[in-house]
Amino acid sequence: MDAVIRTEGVSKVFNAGLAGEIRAVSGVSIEILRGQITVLKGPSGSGKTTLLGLIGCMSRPTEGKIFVEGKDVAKLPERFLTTVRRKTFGFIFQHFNLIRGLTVRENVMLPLYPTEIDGKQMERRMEEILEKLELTAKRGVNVGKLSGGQQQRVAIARAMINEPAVILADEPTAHLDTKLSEDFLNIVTALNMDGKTIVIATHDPLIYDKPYIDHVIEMRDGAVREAARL
Amino acid sequence: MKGHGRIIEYALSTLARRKFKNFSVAAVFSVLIAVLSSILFLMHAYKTETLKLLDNSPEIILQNMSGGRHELIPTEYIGTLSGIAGVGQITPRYWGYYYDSLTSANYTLMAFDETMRDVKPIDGRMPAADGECAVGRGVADLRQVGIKDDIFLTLGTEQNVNLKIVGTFTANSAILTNDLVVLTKADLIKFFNMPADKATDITIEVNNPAEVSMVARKIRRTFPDSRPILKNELLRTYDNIFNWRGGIVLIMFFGAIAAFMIFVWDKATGINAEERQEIGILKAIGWETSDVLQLKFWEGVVVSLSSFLTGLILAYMHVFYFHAQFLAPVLKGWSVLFPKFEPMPYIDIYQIFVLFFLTVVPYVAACVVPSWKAAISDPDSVMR
Amino acid sequence: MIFHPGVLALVTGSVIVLVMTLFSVILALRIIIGWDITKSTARQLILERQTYLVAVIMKYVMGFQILSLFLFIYTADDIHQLFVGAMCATGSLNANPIGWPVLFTKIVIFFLCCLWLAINHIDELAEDYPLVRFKYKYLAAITPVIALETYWQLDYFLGLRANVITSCCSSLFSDEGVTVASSLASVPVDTAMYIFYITAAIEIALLSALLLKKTASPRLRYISGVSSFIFFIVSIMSIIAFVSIYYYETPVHHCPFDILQRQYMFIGYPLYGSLFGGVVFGLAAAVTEPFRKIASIRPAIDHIQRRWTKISIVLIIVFIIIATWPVIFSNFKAYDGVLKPPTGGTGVKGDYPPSSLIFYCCVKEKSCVS
Repeated sequence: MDAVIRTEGVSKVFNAGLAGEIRAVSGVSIEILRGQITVLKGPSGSGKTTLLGLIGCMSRPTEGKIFVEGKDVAKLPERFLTTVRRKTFGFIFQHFNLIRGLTVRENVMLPLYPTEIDGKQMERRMEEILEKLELTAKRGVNVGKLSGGQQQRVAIARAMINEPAVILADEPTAHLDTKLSEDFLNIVTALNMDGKTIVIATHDPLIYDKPYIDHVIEMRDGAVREAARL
Repeated sequence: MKGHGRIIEYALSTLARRKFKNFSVAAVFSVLIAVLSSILFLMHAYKTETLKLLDNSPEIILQNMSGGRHELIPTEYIGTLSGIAGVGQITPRYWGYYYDSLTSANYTLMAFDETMRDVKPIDGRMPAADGECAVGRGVADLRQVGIKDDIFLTLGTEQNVNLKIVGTFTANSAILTNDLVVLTKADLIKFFNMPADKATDITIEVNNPAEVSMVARKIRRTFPDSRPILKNELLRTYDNIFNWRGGIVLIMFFGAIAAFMIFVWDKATGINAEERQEIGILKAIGWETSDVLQLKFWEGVVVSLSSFLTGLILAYMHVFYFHAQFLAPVLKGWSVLFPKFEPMPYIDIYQIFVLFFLTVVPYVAACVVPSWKAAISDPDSVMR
Repeated sequence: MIFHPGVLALVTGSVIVLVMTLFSVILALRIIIGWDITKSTARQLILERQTYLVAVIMKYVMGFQILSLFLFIYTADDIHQLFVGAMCATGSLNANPIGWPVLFTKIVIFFLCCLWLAINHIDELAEDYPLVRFKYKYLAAITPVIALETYWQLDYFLGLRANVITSCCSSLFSDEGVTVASSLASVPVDTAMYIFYITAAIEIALLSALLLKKTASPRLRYISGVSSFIFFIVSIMSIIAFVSIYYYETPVHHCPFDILQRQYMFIGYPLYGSLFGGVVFGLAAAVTEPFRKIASIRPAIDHIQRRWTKISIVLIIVFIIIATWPVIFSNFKAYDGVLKPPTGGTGVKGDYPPSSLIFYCCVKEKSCVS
């Protein structure tokens, strides 16, 4: 199986050279294999969110190389980094990060607004995804009026709209009860069945104890403590 | 192009979601534009009205000078003048100023002559016989008289006239006729006690407009103590005066524009947490910096253009339907008898262009850096 | 003079634009010094983000220059009343020797800004920003021109004195004078037309030749760049020499500004718009040629040059159509058969009693007087 993402000695230093210098990620070399579910595990402050941001092309590493689909993105200017991110990744954030005041359908289609995709095609994709996630009835509802579980499903729908190869989730169950967390994991496994590569950063034992997790990377103080392929 | 269209749509929806904030900016901007536009519209209307009337004035007005002051001119000059090549009709004019102590206002008294026959629109008619007069609207209002009423003017026991009003000047030409009383030549000479062989000044038509300055030079050579006033000079002077007045008022409003720019800057820089969050989300889900810049650009376009239109419409109504009630007291005030001015509605593209430059360009400039600052927020800011 | 609202608008606008440009030059210098694409330091990220700001500012500057060009002409037209002998914008521009240089500088700045944006656009297509230093040096180089324009414009308006005796368009563009403009106007209509259509044919032919092969030869690119420039000059001259008189339907009215007015259906806007646009795209395609040596942007340049060349051809054809339209369809004939002047004559010159016609132009033409 080939690696969708591969990092070589990646570090991220905030406030470099200043008094408050923080080494959030330090010398991390990992491989994320295509079609697998990978979990980045570790306590808060261990650097998993930063690492998730780095491999998701949200920001550039201070040192090291990151290969996304074989292309080194570590030194790419932001403009092109965005293009790579837009093509390859879908993000699910801890706080869902939906835009209040917009409807479900608007929130879901938002990532495609600046692209040159045809309007009809965009609508069609959106309808398909909403149906999969059982949100069709809610499509015209303001996201502020939805329950937590529904909001997360909207966030998942939004992450899927650009048909990404990789879905990255940052502490996705932090604000959900056990029932909803299970629902989330069901959706994720279904996505994985469809061939999506999934990376979840979490410290929720409910997730990394699941049998269908392929790969657990444990982080501590910005470095990889242990990596286990299950 | 498709992406472009959707960003514009999104800009509109963003504006709608932050109605209050955007409305306050747009409202202040609209008022500012309305004030500026009112000034320009009004000044332009004054100017056109004056120039329109000057259009009918003669090519040259010849005054006699004595000791550097305007003096009555001997009518015998006319014979010599008509000998100059290129000179057309020559008409002596009789007029003067009269301070009316009753109403504390200055009137302009003018003798009726042939050149005025079709110049000014009136209700009623021009005076035809001694004892008749036509008055401007301001005079009629001040004296509270109308057609068929009598008006009494006096400069002492000898010099007084009692005139029957046979016509009033309409409001359209108010700017020049407001303080005017037109009476017959005989009445005027009697009233001002002018010598029979003198006139106030002489108007001279010149057949070929290209020869005006040459004719004027010849006249000066013939009568060294005379002063020929050319129509062109008058036009220029008026033009200058009106531009100058408008400009001065504009300068005063520069402060207002500067204050507004600071206001915009402040509003745009001090984006609240919610807005910052929103831009962060956009960046995180795949919007590029230039997409956000585009979004901000369109927001600016919508706010400034809608304010601009609102401001223009407000100013248009203010000036042309409400006779510039708020502004007129500031701009006039040089005379009690300043005309009640009812300008003809007009739309001038040049003026709109100028206003656009004076308002929208500073607005855009004030918005550039703040919107850039918003656009470059880190994509991963929402993950922290 | 300075208190004229239009003048205030122009001067304020120019000062704002100058300040914005100076600000972007400071950013540009910082980028030139600190730029290192191989590092992903916070500093490099900030510089990268500042490139967006510079680009936005330059887009505004370009937009402003276009508007200010028209506002300047309008304002010159509006203030002609103040000068003896001035009947339209031309007279006002003559009233102070600096008037024409201001107009020309505005046009030059417009072109310089457009070319900067073209280079910027290409630079942004390559992942390694290969032109970053070049484009900011270029930006720093054109800033003095913008400063000069602001200064000259101020100087022009401050130096205007009402009463200055100036010449109106029909004496500047009449066929009796000795100025460049008047010698243009005195070029016989048929000669002017020959020159114009030959130049236009060469320009179109060159641009089309560029599209024949997938990648045109560099030499052909440069030649077409020069040809675009020449075409621009010839076109402006032709507008004065013959296009104007066909639109005005007056044999001696050569003013290049009056066609912007309402009584000529604002035809000047599409006329000048298509000319400026066509020439800018033609020049941009040529100016970017040297950068094809850089491997990372070569494919992008090839693609974009083709597109710009196509746009240039379309716009130039539109321009030629607008310029030719009245020659074919208007009732007015510069002479009974423009291309076949009556015996002995070579065109308009000498066939009309000039002074009476100048008078006609200035006094009877509404555009001049109003």
